[in-house]
Amino acid sequence: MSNDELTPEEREALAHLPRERTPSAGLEDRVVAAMREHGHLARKPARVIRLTTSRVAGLLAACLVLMIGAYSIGLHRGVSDEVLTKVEPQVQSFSEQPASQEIEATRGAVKLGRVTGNEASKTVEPEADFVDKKAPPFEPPKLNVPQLASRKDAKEEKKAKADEVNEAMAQSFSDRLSAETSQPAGATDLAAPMSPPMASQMRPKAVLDESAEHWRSFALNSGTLIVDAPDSVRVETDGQGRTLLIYTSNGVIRVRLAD
Amino acid sequence: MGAAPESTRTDRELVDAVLHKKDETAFRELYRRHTPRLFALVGRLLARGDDEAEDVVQEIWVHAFESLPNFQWGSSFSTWLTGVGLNRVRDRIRRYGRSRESAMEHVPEVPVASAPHEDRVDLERMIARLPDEQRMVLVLHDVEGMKHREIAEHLDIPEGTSKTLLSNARSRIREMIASKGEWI
Repeated sequence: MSNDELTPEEREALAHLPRERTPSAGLEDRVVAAMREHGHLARKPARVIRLTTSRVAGLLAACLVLMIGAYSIGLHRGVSDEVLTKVEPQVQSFSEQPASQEIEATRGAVKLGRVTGNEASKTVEPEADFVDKKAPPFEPPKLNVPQLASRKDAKEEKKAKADEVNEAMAQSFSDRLSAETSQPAGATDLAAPMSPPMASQMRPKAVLDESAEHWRSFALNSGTLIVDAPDSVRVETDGQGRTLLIYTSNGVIRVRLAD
Repeated sequence: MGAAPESTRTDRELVDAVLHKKDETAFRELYRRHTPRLFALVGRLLARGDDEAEDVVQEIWVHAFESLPNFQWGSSFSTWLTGVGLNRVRDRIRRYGRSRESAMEHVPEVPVASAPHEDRVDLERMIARLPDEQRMVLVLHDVEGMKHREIAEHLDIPEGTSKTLLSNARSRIREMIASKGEWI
């Protein structure tokens, strides 16, 4: 047999050799990773979250829950502030003296015990001073920095006071108008004439004289008009006579005064 | 690996998708289409075991896509990829050399059950025992069906040298068959 030719058996044996073999399972991923490292393949894209209707609805629901939760917490904390205005922290000192004086007083008592030389017991017991010390009287707890509540209360008081003044002024004028219809005599700055007891918002001029700086009084035919806020009252004089101007939050009230 | 449905896209379309879009899916399809054959060829040429063959296959794919922009598609992608693989195998053998003993340790156990030979000689193991150059020429000519001219081009040797190496390889194989698979 020549070396340049294959026998049919040899040719058939070679033809039966497998032309394909499967490599290990991890090779594909290794090759892909190598390709990616060399820039031949794109990097893995970042995960994109697409906004679908259900996801948007879920987000809105979550936001709503958060808002309701925050509102509930706010309500709860508001109630807590009200409670805080009534609850007082339990801070109580046993002595109103400064601590240094307290210590000095204790030392003094110890020295005194040694000088007098108590025969029954030569050992001084400083603790006894504390034990025998009379407890200070109980004081009701003081409000401890409820600033928010204080501001709120002050605001409400101020508003109530302003309402009270306005109501008083309105009431006094309505009283005066009704009086004018029955008695045509006008109001003057003169002393109040003899009249029945005034309404709660009216005060006698004698009392008003003591605090002339804070009060302005006008004698009416049936009493005296007292205005708590003198800056809001002004009397103008023109050709027709005198007019009382009262500046309120709702506008200016003009009252023609009789001569 | 391997369970993906076959695509109707040609090799060129897949290569273009990888080159222009860096499409990983296209590359995986290309890989699954050509790697089994490439792996078998590289493993047979190297005769150093599957691990080294896989390393070379990985190098071949990376190197192939570095050279692909210059590929003019004058031949099929498979033929061109085989050429790339042969260059990598030749470089690997030249770089690291090979002793007969180390080659013997890594010869894959591939029985030739359907071979009509009476002694059912393990032909694969005999091929692996050949010297590197003889083995490469024998595999490329008698197994892969290449011409001496192609082998000479790929291995960068004269055509006459290829014929001589093939003649020597066949003589060795016949000697091994005569001794019933025993190395002589």
